[in-house]
Amino acid sequence: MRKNYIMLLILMVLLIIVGTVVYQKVTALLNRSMEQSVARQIADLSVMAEERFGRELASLHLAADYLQPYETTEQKKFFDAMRLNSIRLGIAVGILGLEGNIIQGDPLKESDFPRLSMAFRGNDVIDYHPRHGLLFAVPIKDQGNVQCVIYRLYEPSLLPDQFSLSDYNDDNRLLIMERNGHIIVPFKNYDENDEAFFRDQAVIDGYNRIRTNLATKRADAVYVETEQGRKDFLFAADIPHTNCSMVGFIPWEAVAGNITHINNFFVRVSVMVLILFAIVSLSLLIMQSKAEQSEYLVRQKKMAEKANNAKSAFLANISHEIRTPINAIVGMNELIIRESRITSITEYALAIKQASDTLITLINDILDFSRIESGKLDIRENDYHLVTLLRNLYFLTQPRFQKKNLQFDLHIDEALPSVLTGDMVRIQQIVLNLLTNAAKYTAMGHVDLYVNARSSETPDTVILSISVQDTGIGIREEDIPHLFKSFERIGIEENPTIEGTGLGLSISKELATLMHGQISVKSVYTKGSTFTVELPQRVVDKTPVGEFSPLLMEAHGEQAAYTESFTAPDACILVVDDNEINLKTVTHLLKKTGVRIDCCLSGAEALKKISETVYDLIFLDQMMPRMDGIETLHRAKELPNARNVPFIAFTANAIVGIREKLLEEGFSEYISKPIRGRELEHVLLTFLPKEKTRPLLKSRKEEKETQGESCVNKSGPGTEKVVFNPSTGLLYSDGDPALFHELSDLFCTLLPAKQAELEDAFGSNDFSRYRIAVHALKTSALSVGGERLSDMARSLEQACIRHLDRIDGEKAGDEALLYIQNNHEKLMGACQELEGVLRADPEKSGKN
Amino acid sequence: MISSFRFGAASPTALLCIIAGAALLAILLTVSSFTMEPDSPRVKIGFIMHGDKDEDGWNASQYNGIKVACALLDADLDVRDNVREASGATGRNIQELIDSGCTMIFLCTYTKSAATRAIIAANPHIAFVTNSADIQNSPLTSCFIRMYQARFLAGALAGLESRKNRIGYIAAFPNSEVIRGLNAFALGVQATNPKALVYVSWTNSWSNPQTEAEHAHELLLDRDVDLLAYHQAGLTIPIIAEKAGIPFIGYNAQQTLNMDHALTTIQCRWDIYYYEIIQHFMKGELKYVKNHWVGFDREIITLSPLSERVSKENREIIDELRFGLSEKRLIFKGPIFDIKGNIRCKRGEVISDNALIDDMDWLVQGIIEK
Repeated sequence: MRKNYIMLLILMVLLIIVGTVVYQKVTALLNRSMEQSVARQIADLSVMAEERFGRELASLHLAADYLQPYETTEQKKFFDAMRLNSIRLGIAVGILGLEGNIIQGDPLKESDFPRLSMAFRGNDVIDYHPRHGLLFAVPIKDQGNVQCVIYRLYEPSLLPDQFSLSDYNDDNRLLIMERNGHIIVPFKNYDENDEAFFRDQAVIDGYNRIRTNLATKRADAVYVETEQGRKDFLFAADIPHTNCSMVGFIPWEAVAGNITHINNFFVRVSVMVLILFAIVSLSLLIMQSKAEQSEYLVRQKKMAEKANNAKSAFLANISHEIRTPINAIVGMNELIIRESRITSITEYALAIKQASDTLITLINDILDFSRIESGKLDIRENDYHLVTLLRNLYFLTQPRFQKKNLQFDLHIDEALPSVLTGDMVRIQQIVLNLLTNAAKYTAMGHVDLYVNARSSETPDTVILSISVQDTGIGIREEDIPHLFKSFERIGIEENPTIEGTGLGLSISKELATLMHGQISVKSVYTKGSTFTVELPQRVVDKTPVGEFSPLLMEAHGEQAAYTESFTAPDACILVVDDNEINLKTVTHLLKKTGVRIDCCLSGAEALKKISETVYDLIFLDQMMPRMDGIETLHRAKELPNARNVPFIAFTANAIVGIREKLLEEGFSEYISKPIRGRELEHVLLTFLPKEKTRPLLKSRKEEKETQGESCVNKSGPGTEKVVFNPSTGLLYSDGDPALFHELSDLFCTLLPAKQAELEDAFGSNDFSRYRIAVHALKTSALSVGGERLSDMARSLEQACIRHLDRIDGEKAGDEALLYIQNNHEKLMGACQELEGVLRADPEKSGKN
Repeated sequence: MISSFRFGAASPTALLCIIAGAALLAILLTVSSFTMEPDSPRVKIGFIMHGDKDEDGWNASQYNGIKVACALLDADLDVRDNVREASGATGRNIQELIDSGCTMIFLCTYTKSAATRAIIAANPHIAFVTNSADIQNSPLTSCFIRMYQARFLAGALAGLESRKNRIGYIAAFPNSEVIRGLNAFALGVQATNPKALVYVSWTNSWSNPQTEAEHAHELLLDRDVDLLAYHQAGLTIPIIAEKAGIPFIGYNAQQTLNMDHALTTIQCRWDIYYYEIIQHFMKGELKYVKNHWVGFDREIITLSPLSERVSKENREIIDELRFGLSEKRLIFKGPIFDIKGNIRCKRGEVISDNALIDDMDWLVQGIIEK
């Protein structure tokens, strides 16, 4: 920019220089042309002067003609008369002899006039002497021979009147000079100013130049500027046949006349052009600077985008970095939960589990947000049972409301279609978020979930409307517009303890928009809020869902299709991960399926194993030292054994678009870390050869039909506690169905040992040991939702205490012993009962 | 907007500035290279001479004179020499010079054919100048040097140096120019030696060594002259005189300056002479110059330093006469008689220039024709 201004400045200076040069050139040309014009005029004037002199000579010739041959008295008388006439005018007249002698008239010194001799050779003469004046002489001849010379002499004082030629115009000053510089005929009113003018060096130089030029020119003129600032044209012309010159000067203005207007015109036009140029240049500069500014903005935008991308990458990296240790924590923690026999440690581990899950949720939020930001959040539509969604919502949130003593009611339209197409996971995410918020911001009262549908314009589609109404603190009207903005949390001053990223509603809104739906809010400050999400969903099965009760979930068979519990003892899979913890996690998670699992720690090792064995499925960690998952995949695909084997990627790299990338590379599916049993099983079910998986569905269902029925019956009236309350189990798993599933698994696995321990203690009457065992059973049963078993265990524990401590007396101790003896079998039965329920549908509450 | 606004790497303003700057510089160059036509165009002079321009004597002195004059006045010069008289070449050369752009043409020949005159008359816009004064018709201007003044001095010297009082004079044509010179010579002789006679012999040629030699020998043998003067172009007479051991007076020839028997040589500053004529032409004054006649007063004409043979007394006499001439001493002052005894100029009178130029067809007393 600065460079441009400098260039502009240079250009302006150049323009001014050019303008000045052109102006000077034009002026010089004009002056030159005027000089020529003046010279021509002065040449004409010199002719006039010559003619004036010629008239003088002619009159003398007339006299000479009369006087030749000069002999008679009459001639002398004529001359006397002529002389008398001249004397009156002050003019000297005479006739000279050959020797310079005066024959008649006024005497004249011949030597004063060098040209006079020419007259004696028969020629006309004009000569000048500074003191004596101007001489005109013509010969008087006698047959070709010169007899004498007649002359007329004008005194210097007479000359101005007689020969002044100031008729050029009023402005010019003209005089006649001898060629050697004596002024012959000065102009009228010759004064000091004129003398000063002629003494000016510029004028002297000018006349010298003219004198030089007159060598070859009749007349010449030059333009001079004097020290006094006068501008004049000097001019001179030699008068032919004489030793005289006409010399003078004329002011520039007098010659230039209207030409001065041309000069002014030129100056004005130049100035205007200069201004115009300046304006154009300036506007161009401004335009350019604007263009550069917008260019700058575009650059800034690009940089911002770049920074945003960097942020996304950073988030992804961070998530990877966080997920890896969490993965280890979750995995190990899971093992602790499964294997710990000590209740308190299990409880600690469960707490760790809960914290980890919160952390994972947080990271998932951030990931979702970055996905939404880059517009790469996937909406995966599948058929789903509405009731599954509802049950999930209920069980995942119920414990939270219970904890806060909030009433949570569901208002489900019974006419809702039972099977819809849509992204249930995302819908669940939205509603869960709304419900979680409701729980967070409601101190007392109740939260209501309304689900209904209205028909839409598109056939086979309904607008599913889910509203969450609470009696919480509400939202100020002015805050509502900020509600769905990222990272903004309303009312943070009033609720400093409420945790969260502040992304929830923003993500929910984006998700709703992505699903072509919308989310709206109505709120009265301090009274409560209603969030409503409306989403178009395609109807698959119009059968009404009917009355919804979370407790009647067994009555719905829809989850049968989703039952993952299966065995595949004939299947053989390979798990490749450089992290041993991950290998252990997978092994343990799949233990019950009976799948044969080979593990290895590197790509190279995996390739070796693949070449030796034909696997049904291979899990491959994406990030491994030396040979990463993708390279291993490519190499493995070249082996004949692995040609048709599905490869599943483990990745902690939850970057947007990673799924597409991995699928493109040749993976069949991917599982993001931390690895969860449910996902594992889903993948196994999907990709293992169907003939090798034996779903437990059929046999278990039959069992369930008999046992489950009894369970329900037992949980009927008169029974204080239900055999199995999934919400209690979920509460202990902090709403995480996967954890619940794992805990259930763990419980079922550990139960036989516990039963054996109880039987052993009961048989040996070691009630101290028995007490410890029932205490553990009490806690672990409750953690999987076995309320009845837990209750019974609690009663037995108390009985043991009473029996052992005898705090209420011997009698009571004995009664307690009797109670224990009477109820031991019942406890065992309850154990079987709970195990049956859990085994029948160990993930009935976690399935989604 | 942005992309359309940019031209390559340079910013548009910078580019515009460069273009405008270049344009301005171009204007500057154009303006400064623009000059007015000079008010007086360059003059080209044509110069026709019948002899060889390098021939010592009349021809070389003429050529050198015009060359210097043209150089001083910054005029172009086109010289045509060896244009023989009556060969018909004069007219052709004049036409060629006119066609080549000459505006002023010198005809250094004395005689002019009718064809030449026709060409001159047909070109009134050309300034023709000739040395011969007897033909005057526009646009022909005749100019000459008052050569007779030098001849007068030469005659005075001859009168002083002749022991036998018999002086030989070889002359080309009896035209007014030659006669004027001869008469002045005779008047000079009579001024210093009234007894001496001048024997004139007409060769009827400007340059014909054989004829000149014959005439010279005739004068020497038949008339017994002891001093030779001449009015011829070449060096024939000086060579003969030198061979014969006879003193002579040279005429416009450099080589005579080194000859033992040369008393003096008439010398002309043709450069000054031509300079003045061309100057008149350039100033547009030529039409006012009826005849351009200059002489001792302008130092255009002079005698070379006198020979050592000339005595001191004689030198003083000559110097006195020379001073008188430069101080406007009149040569053709009465009384003057012709060879027939008629008075041509009365006492107290002087023959005017016009008469000298036009009417000099008579010889003064004291001249004896062969």
